[in-house]
Amino acid sequence: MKNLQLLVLLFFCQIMLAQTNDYKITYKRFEGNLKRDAVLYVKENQPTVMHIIMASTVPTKVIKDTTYINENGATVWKGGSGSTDYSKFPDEYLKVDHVANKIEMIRDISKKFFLVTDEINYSWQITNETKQIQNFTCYKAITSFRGNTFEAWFTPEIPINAGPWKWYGLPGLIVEATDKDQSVVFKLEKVEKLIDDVPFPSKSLTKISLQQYFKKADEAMDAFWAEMESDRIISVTKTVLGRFGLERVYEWEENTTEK
Amino acid sequence: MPKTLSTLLFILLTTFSLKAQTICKGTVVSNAKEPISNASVLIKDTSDNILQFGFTNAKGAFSINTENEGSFVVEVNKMGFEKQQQSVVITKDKKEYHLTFTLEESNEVLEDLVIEIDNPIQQRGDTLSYGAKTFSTCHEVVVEDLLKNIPGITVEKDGKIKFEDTEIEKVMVDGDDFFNRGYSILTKNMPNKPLDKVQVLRNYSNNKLLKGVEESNKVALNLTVDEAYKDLWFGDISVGYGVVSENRYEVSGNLMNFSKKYKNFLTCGLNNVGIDRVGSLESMFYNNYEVESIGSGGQLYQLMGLHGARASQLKDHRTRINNAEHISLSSIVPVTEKLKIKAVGFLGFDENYAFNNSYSITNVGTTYFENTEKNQFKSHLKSGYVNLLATYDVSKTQMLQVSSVWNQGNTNNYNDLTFNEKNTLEQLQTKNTFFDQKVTYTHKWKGKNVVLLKARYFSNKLPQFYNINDYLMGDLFSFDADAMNNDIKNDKTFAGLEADFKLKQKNNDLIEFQVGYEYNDQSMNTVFKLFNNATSILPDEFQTDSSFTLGDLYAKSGYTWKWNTFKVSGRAEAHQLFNSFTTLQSSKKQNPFYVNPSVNFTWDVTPTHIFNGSYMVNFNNTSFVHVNDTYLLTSSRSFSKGLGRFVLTDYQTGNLGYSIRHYLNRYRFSFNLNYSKQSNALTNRSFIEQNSSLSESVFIKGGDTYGANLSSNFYFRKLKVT
Repeated sequence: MKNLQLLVLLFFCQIMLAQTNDYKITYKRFEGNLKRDAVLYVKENQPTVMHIIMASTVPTKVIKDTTYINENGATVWKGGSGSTDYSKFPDEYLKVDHVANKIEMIRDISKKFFLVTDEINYSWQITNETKQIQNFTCYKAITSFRGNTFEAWFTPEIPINAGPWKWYGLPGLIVEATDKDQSVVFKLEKVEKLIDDVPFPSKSLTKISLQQYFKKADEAMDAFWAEMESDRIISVTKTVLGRFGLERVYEWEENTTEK
Repeated sequence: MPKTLSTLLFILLTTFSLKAQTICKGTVVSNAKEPISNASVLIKDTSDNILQFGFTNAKGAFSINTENEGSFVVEVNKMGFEKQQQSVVITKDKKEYHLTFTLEESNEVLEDLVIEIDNPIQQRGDTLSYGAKTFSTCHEVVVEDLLKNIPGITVEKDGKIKFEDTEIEKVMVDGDDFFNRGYSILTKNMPNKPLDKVQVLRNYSNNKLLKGVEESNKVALNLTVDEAYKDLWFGDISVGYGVVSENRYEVSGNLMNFSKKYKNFLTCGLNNVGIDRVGSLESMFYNNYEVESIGSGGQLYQLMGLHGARASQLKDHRTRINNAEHISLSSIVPVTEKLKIKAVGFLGFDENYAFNNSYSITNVGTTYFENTEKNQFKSHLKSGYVNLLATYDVSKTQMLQVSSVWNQGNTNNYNDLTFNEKNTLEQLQTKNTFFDQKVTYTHKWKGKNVVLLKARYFSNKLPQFYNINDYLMGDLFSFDADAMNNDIKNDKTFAGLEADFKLKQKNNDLIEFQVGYEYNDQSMNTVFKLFNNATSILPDEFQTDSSFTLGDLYAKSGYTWKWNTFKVSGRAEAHQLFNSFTTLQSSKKQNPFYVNPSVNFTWDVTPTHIFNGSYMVNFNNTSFVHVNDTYLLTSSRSFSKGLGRFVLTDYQTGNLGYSIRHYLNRYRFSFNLNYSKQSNALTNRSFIEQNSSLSESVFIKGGDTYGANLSSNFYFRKLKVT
């Protein structure tokens, strides 16, 4: 009898598997004048993985402009002469476990890769603002963390708790998301059934926390400058302009500044 | 006492418990009673707003806290299942609600979905955005101070603002313009604190329907106001008074309100400490560009001027002694969605004083003399300005703009000169009345083609009265004069019509074509009088009573060809003129026809290396002062006279240049070759005597000029001392 139950359960599972809710979701990621693909792999009851493909980078058309000054007063170069071969840059991977609230990223320091762990506790605030994207009614949700404010448009009509980059925790798929300065913009482009394997080449990588990662990166940078200074009779003056992009102030930095 | 305390505590606790949240609990299962995990649960109000949300756990259970009361809809969504809703009424009595959802499997699968997306950042190309807070060092008071901190923006002494090398068109507040070219009244008065962003709009078009059609190098600034300052009246007032010094004061105040519906800006100021809080308003009065129109630069110019002594070694603002008052009120009100009205009023008074005392001894060989000079100069200025602008959006592609400007000014200049004990008093009064009416209709079709119908009428009266209690012209007149005066009446009316076509081709080339007719009527009447104790005379040839009318029927066209980074534009203007010059004695007419062609090219070798060249032939009609056949007094001892007939002057110029520059680059290089040939030119012939000068226009054959210009600059960084 018990075996029969198990059999039924197995059979049931088989049906469930046949009707998979696994999707490959492609976003376009806009930053400055660059556009690249960011692919999100969603599997039932598994962490989502986002794969940002560097080689897919295409410069977007910007009319009669080579530079602009962004909100932080930093000069951002748009294009200019010469082209960068992005195919040589490493791809970015992000794994988000929304049940355990854990984020893992594959990042490098001078071509040495680490598995970097991170954790963000979101408190999304859903506004009454809605807009239609294709046939979907999207709600605007806002949240802030790490010195930046974010807005995400999600639709409950695609009930997948996932989104681009580190964003998740909304009752529907995030269709568009950006920060207050539009430093990076993600826009949903494609949703397909998932047939491929989920890429996340994290085997044999050392696991470190994000704070450790930055510490290591700073050390590597200092070592680089020190080498520069010892090689040549020069002195290097560094000006820290502050951080641009999506994350600007980290929790541990807040504490040190308070002290 | 403890009793009340406990009661108080009790009440507090009860209110706390009353405020405590209601819990909405439940489970989500499939038809087969299997728990469904990771389903999203939404609590929506009746207008479909999401109030709270949660997810089911591995056992299919959810629990959501809510503070709201009333009737709600609980919605459960899960991929592969039908959406399900249950309504629930939450009251304060019940703290827990239990709901069970049994979801039907859905046959609808999320088919391959493709969304067409556009680049969200692309439009930034023409707009540079600067965070106002980022560029603030907390020492700024007004907008102008903040703008000085922004790279690429320079603010000149008189308040003119330039971005890179281009003077900006206007300074807008949240997209609305108050003062157009007189923006300095805003930037010199508005506090910088309410600003959120400063935006530099490049390739700017004053007429919104021309955006993307015309080739524009214009730049405008837009100031966005922080949300916290929207929809409320705010202002500032600053008062300064010199306690130790003599009676010196400075008062300025602003009151403003920027809301989505209407915008108001009131500013006033008075000071006698030499501060200029108004800046140059001439362009706002006479040539505002907010409405595309014709006849720019057509207003009258003063025939006589009177300037006092200036302390050349000291900066102007250090020696300025003044008494300035101004008040300005402006409002922008959208009457309906389509009709927007702007009203700007300005009233200003300014008194400027200057004095200069000098004493000099000359002792060379046997020559010895002393000179003492005392000069006092006073200038009184009154100026009033009213501008009404109505913009009516007939439809998305049609716009009607009506602008009226009325401006009146009064200037009195006094000059009191004592030279070696001999006193001379000079006085010049100038009154200026300017009334301007513009109507422009813009129609855009197929998104690329625009026609502008422009009509303008203005009248300008500029009478001047000059007198001097001395006669300084030696033996120019055979009359023993003690004093003289000159009474000038100078009037002009202008009327014009133009149809202006701008057709953008599929390959982004622009065809422009204008046809129009302009009519100018200028009349001049001067009475020049010499006095002595007994009698007065009016010398012949020094009295003017003439009128000059000019009709100009013209057609202009231009075309720009583009190949990648190479651009060639050709332009031609054909004019048929109807000149007529009438005095009491004679009447002259001439109807010349001429064509002015020009061609120029630019090649952006790289974005920072630019190669350009141009060639043009230019014919010019004679202006009033060159046609007039009598002597006109221009200062205390000089006269000028025109040709007495019409001539057409012409010249041609060519230019080739190469430049390397970018505002962030420290190296700049430019090389220019110029050639110009003047075939027929007008110049002046002056008879200068010890005490007087008579100047006459003469017509000459000009010559050729060649020029080469090379400049190479490298800007060093500030040297650092370690």
